[in-house]
Amino acid sequence: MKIEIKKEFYPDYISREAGEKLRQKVAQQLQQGSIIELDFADCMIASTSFFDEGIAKLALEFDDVNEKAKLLKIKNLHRRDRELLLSLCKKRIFKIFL
Amino acid sequence: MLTIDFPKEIGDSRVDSYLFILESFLTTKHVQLHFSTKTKISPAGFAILACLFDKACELGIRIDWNIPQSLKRQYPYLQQLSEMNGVKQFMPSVQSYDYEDKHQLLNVGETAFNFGFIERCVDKFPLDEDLQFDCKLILQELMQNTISHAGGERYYAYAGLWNEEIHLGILDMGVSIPTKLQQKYVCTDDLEYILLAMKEGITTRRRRVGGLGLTHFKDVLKNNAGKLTIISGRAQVRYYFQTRKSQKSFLKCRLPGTWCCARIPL
Repeated sequence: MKIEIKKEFYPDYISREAGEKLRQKVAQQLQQGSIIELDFADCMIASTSFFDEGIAKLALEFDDVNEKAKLLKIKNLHRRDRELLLSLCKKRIFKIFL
Repeated sequence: MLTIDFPKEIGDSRVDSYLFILESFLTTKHVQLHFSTKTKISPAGFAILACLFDKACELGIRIDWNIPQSLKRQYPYLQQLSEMNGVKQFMPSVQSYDYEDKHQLLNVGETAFNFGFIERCVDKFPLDEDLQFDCKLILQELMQNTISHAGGERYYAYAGLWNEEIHLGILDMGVSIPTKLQQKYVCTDDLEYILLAMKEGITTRRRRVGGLGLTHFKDVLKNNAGKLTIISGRAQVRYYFQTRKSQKSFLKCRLPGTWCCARIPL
């Protein structure tokens, strides 16, 4: 499954509410053992709320999140968004591959 | 009737005078506001004026504006506000506060994100990509905080260029940080509550627990050698990251809400 963030979330890829919606979709795929791709093309997210709620909090959903994360593919992330997401995942002890 | 002289610079520096005005709204029905020909209005000042005016309308206070013609020409926004004065005991529409000129952007939002304002801010000013990211992050985190926690009807978002800095922030007149945090945490005073709110993981949200917004707001300003101001309840915290100084103090009057202001050197 592929989620194009701009297409599915524009204009709200900012709020925790939108992040929760993303996390539910991602978690469902990971639960099924399916690969999920998040495409951040043409987006500058710059939101701790969206990244924390949408991705970093997967750490709270799965005991084996670092194993599940191998199924999560993240593409076209802005350089600064990458730094932000990595720092948020680190706080949740979630080793994400970017 | 109460007569109030505005300070020469209307901005986020000397807030006690604005808080005195807000407090005086509770005891008077008629206010005369005086501006001098030398008055300067910084970007935060535009939002503060909108905030004060909105409160006056809500309380049904009559305002007489005493604005020199030269100042009206310099700041058409003062003319815009004074012309809205016919509205009594009704808060003017949020759109009537919108303002944009070469150096400023002001928007009054209701209980949702104003995506357009954030995008406009990023596009309007001559910022490099990193600064665009940082300004976007600040506005988004502050907007998320005010929407999620303040519970006010409106928030006042501003951005603008001033003395080779970009200024941006969000003001609200909802529930202050100390009042909100009292639901869950115990501190000795309002200053302690504001400092607590800036720590990671402090939140009163039951669903979608976070508590990262103000931490990142502070980090971004620290990385840019900027200035941070948070005013809420009876206290204020100011960090001047370029000089590594800070000011933490109590206010003479209480702010029923939270004003968060950022300044970043260009």
